[in-house]
Amino acid sequence: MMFFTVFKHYLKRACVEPMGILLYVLLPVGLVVLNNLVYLTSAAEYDYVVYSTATTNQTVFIAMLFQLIGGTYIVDYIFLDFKSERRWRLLATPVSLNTHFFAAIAASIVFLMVSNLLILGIGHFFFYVYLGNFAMIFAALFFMALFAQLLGVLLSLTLEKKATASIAVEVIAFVMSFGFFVFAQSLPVVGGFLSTYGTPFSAGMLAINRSGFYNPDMGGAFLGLGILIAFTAVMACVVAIIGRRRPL
Amino acid sequence: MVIASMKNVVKRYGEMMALDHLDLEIQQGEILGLLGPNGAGKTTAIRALCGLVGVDGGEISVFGLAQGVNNVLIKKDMGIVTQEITVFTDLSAGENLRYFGSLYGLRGAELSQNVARVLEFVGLSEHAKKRPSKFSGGMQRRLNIGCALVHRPKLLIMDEPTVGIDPQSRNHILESVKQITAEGTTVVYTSHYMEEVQAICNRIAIMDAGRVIAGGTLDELVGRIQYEDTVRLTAVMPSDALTEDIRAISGVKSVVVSGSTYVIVSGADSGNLNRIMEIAMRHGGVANISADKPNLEDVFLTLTGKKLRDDKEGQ
Repeated sequence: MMFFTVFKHYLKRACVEPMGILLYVLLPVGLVVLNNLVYLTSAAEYDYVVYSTATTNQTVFIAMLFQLIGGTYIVDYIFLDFKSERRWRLLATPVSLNTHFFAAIAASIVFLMVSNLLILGIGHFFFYVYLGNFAMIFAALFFMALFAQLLGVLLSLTLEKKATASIAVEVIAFVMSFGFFVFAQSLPVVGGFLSTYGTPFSAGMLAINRSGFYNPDMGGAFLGLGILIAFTAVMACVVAIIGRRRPL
Repeated sequence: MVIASMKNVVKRYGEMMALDHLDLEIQQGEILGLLGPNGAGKTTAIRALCGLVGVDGGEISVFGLAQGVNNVLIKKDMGIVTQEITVFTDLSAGENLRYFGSLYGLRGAELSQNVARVLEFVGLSEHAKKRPSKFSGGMQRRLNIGCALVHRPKLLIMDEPTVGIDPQSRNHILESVKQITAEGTTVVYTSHYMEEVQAICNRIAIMDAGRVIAGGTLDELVGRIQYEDTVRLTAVMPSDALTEDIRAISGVKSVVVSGSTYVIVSGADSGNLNRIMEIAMRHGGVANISADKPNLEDVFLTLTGKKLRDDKEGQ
């Protein structure tokens, strides 16, 4: 019961924070709309009779990128609520710190999933984005969001300043999404492997794309999802170990 | 009746002894002032009492329950006002109160009634829908207090609740503390401002180096220190004869004359005020006379050898 009380509180804060709405909802929606409009106005009509590979790739890429960057949400909550004087006020309530903490993670995941489902929905209904298997998309978004939050927790536990931890999340997200893609051009074998399977980002993209895009390949989709879950599990173990040594 | 007690409590941070065999009792219905210089261990004592930090030794009991084992039960009837503003700036005043109330298990109509009552109490009813970031420092402080009151705690811990606010808001808060106590809540009040403690606390505990070095009512504390009485007299007809006669009174240590004003220092409880009056009347009369009593500041200085706050802090 208390978990849901705290969960609602964090979800509400995410929904009323103007900068968060701007950066994690309006900005990706704007990017999706702009990129896809530019593409569709220049593409030949037969490229998107039923769906468009280009708009699908762009939209899924942006959704997954912002899901990953969304790790900054938990960074904010940890520094504002658990690594500040407010910590004592929360500790003084009959609700355990763990309940506050896990409810904050759950609320961040739900907020990011809803905002990214919105992005994919806009892409699907207005820009010929083909989404394939909805359950697979949902699962990939969930584990990507969970991975991002765990990454945020890890960096918050190990870094002293909120700004440093937030920037670190963003840099890691951009390196995962763009870095190995660039690397793949110069070293096709290693780079290609990394940009397909080597990061949570690429694994998530693989799961969504293979679930119904090009030629539906559920084996490939499950492989991508499995890799993403494995990355998330490893990250959870690392966070648990660091969390025991450096508790909040 | 004792509502909470700390017996022989020890808390170490590495080599540093934050609480050094601390003994403290809080009586039901009182306002206990906890005074001490920076680093005296006040905040650690409060956190230990609330069960927010573990201790290395000793016993803490609140509402007759041992702290630690019954942590959650105890917390339900305690409220804490933190030194810094710890309300959520991204939520409105009303939403803050609702959230803190719900964390203590309040729901539905009871929660709404308590939120309305506290908003009224802290004078923020008209600002319930505004965010604290739009508030003045005093209003934020009042909301900070309100968040600790919404569940009607039996024991309220206030850690320097008036730091950095205007006199009007300070008075409002001090009056509120008296009212809270009148409604049955016991209050532990820490402050750097001795005049506040002097004004509202029934009992005072002075802490230094992690232990309580003196405790009691203000009169009891003042009575413990050896002190001199200072009488200020404005004579109608000042003269050398008057000065000599005052100096001749037994127990008078010094007489300083400045124009028609005499500052006369006697040993404590010498009872010289009446004698000085009689002599001054014989020498032409008294325009004004006053006696300075030692205050809490003097007690504190005598017991700890330190000022409670630096001059810079007090500004």
